[in-house]
Amino acid sequence: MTFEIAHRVTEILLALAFLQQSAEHIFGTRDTRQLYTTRAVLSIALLLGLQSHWILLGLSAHSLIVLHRHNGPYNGGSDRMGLLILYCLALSQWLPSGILSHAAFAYLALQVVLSYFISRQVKIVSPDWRSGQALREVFSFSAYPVSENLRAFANRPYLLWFASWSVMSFEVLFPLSLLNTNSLIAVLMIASAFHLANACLFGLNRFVWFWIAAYPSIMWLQGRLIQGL
Amino acid sequence: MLKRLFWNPEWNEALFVLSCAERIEENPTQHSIHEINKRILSDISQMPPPQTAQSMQFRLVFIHENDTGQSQDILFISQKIPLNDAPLK
Repeated sequence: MTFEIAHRVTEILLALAFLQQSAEHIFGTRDTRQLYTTRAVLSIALLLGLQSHWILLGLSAHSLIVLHRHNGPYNGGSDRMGLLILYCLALSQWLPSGILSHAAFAYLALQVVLSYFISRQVKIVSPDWRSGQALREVFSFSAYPVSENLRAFANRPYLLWFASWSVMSFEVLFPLSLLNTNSLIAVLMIASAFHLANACLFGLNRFVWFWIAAYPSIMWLQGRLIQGL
Repeated sequence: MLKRLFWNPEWNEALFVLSCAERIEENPTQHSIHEINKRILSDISQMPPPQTAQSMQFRLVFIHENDTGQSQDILFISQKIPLNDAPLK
């Protein structure tokens, strides 16, 4: 994947993720309708590729107002990932073409890889994660499960132990997938399925769209790394 | 479930309230308290009359598991707000 294609695909996916997010605020909760209408309009312009460098700058400036309104990210990790993608794209557009522009985009790819790898480090040192207890607590009494029926998963310790080790194993192996294009594609598909499961079980739908939006940067970086070997 | 992937505003709102609660637990700020108050008052205003309560306040209860079983800690109790005041903006 060339830099130009990866950059443009990321812009499109980010615009779609912002539109999904904005629609929930404009037609759903309505409390911040005006704020997110501005983001939606800018996202449509980004989707259409109209003056992308100015639109990315506008979205970046607007993101500061959104952060101020919610006194931080509204939706935790998914908002942080969305902003990381936005700022890396904007920097990549505004920095001189060549190594600096590529470095800004590569930084995004690196952060996404680290988002899985560091998450693994946090989990694997925790006895609760290794025994499946952490997931049991999530299903038992955290606010996350989207329905009371899902709390029954807390009574299936072997399934939760298997799920815990599947997640940790996947996160350990994630950086190794960079060694081969096919393995990277396979791992990104598994990662998408993981985010999809989180959306279904815990209602974390925005994570799906923002993480997928960052995947073209990893595919581009992997191509560059393989070329360099 | 598929619909939830594209459209889940109420749940994301609930997650934001959860974030506010976690922020209050770490370091109480007027912003987070206000955001929770606003949503509770909105819910109360949609409840059917008669409403006899004169004021409202909320508390944050954190549940955790330890060697002796489950325990609950009340980590924050908000100040009372009169219910006849205009809704928070």
